[in-house]
Amino acid sequence: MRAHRSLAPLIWAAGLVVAVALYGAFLYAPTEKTMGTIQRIFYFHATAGMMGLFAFLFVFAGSVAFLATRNLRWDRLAEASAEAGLVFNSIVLVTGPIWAKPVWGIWWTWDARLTSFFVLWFLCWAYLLLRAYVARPARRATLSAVVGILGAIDVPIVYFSIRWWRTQHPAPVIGGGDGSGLAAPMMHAFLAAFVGYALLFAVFVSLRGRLAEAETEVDALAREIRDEGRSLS
Amino acid sequence: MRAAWAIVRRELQGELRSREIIPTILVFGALVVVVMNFAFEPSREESERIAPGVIWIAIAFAGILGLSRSAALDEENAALDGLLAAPVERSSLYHGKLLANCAFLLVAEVVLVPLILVLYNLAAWRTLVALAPTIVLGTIGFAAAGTIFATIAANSKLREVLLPILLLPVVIPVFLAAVEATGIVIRNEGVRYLYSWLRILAVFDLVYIVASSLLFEFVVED
Amino acid sequence: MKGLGSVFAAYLVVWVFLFVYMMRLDAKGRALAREVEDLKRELQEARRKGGA
Repeated sequence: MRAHRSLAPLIWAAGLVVAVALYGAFLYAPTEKTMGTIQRIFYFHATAGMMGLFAFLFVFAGSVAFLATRNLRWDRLAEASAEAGLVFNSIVLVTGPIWAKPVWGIWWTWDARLTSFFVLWFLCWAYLLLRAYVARPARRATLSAVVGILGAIDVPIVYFSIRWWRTQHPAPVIGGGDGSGLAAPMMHAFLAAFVGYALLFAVFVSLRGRLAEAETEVDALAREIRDEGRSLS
Repeated sequence: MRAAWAIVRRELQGELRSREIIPTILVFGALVVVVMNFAFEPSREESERIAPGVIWIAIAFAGILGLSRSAALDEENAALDGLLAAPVERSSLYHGKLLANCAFLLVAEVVLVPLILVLYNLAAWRTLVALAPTIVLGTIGFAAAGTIFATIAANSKLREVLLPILLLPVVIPVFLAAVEATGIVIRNEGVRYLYSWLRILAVFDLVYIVASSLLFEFVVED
Repeated sequence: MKGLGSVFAAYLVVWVFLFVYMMRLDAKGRALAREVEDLKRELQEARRKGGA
């Protein structure tokens, strides 16, 4: 098995930045004028959304790279990114309503951004479900790559069509309007949260990628054992 | 391109003989409408508001059945293997299947959509004509993604069951734009917004036809 | 300090999700590593038997 660089530095870096981000979100950043304390959810809700979107970028890149090179490491990148994407999208979908309830009194308003992320969540899940039900690794990688590309190119279309829909039929916006100004300290806290999440994303993808490698190795070993058994008899 | 038309001809001939796909879409579509009626029991005013949704839910779910069947027939007849052996461009295979699926869906919709309008007391020639671009663009988008996803799903262990899970999230923009456009036509509202939705449909159609044409070879390779 | 409870709930959710996923990866990783070791041993056995 290929020797791997230790992930410890990356994990420690992620932990450190996350700690800084938590301090930033809770203590360093000033309380927002209109929404009050509840606005602090923003630092980890919006950044989770950005990670969810980046995940699609990586799924797309990995899928294209796999179809171009047939090197399974790109398939591993796509798979790991999709899983991490699912985690971050889930965070967005759960923290959004938690934010909405105190502010609007209702859990869900089919707000443009949250609705888009809901659809994105299903796209992630569909990709992973397909992978679960194709047996042969090469075939699975190829079909997943196609679905990954077709799903990823949908993301901008989904986002814009839903936003246009909400422009026609306005409703309460969850989580502050687009580009509601960020004072400097808030920007710092936001960046810290973003970097922290990004490092965590990298950790997840690395770990998941190694898992996939190990699974491949298990399959290869099992096959060799079968072959040995057959050559004996 | 000639290969694509040959495929379309073959599919249509097959359908004329077996009559499996179009009746399936029609009957299931009508069934969805009946169920929706019991689900919502709309009053006169409400009918206008929910009719667009009913139309496209019927098309979406019945269409999924039709697409599944179409892909399954390919598997059963090993029709694809024969074509793959020949030096046919893979994208032509996709175009042929796409055109055939569009044809199946549109034929069914020619009956289904007027039927729904009648059932909801919204029928008028003007409405039908005005709806045509929406129906066509929406169907093309649905079939563009549906054709390739149906072939992918047929390749999995879950087979047809996987198609709705793969397809529905992806075609949300189509569904959304089509329902909005249909609503605008039925309620006889401004043309300006109708064009914005039709534009979204056109963009989706173009993007997915191009992308699927390029990617289809990977789906059918061995 | 209105809303502090909700902020806390949101952060709890975030960390639960991230933590659970991390744990799953770790657990699967260790299970797979064990399986790799077992299979490697099995393979050596099979090869030895073949030689003898």
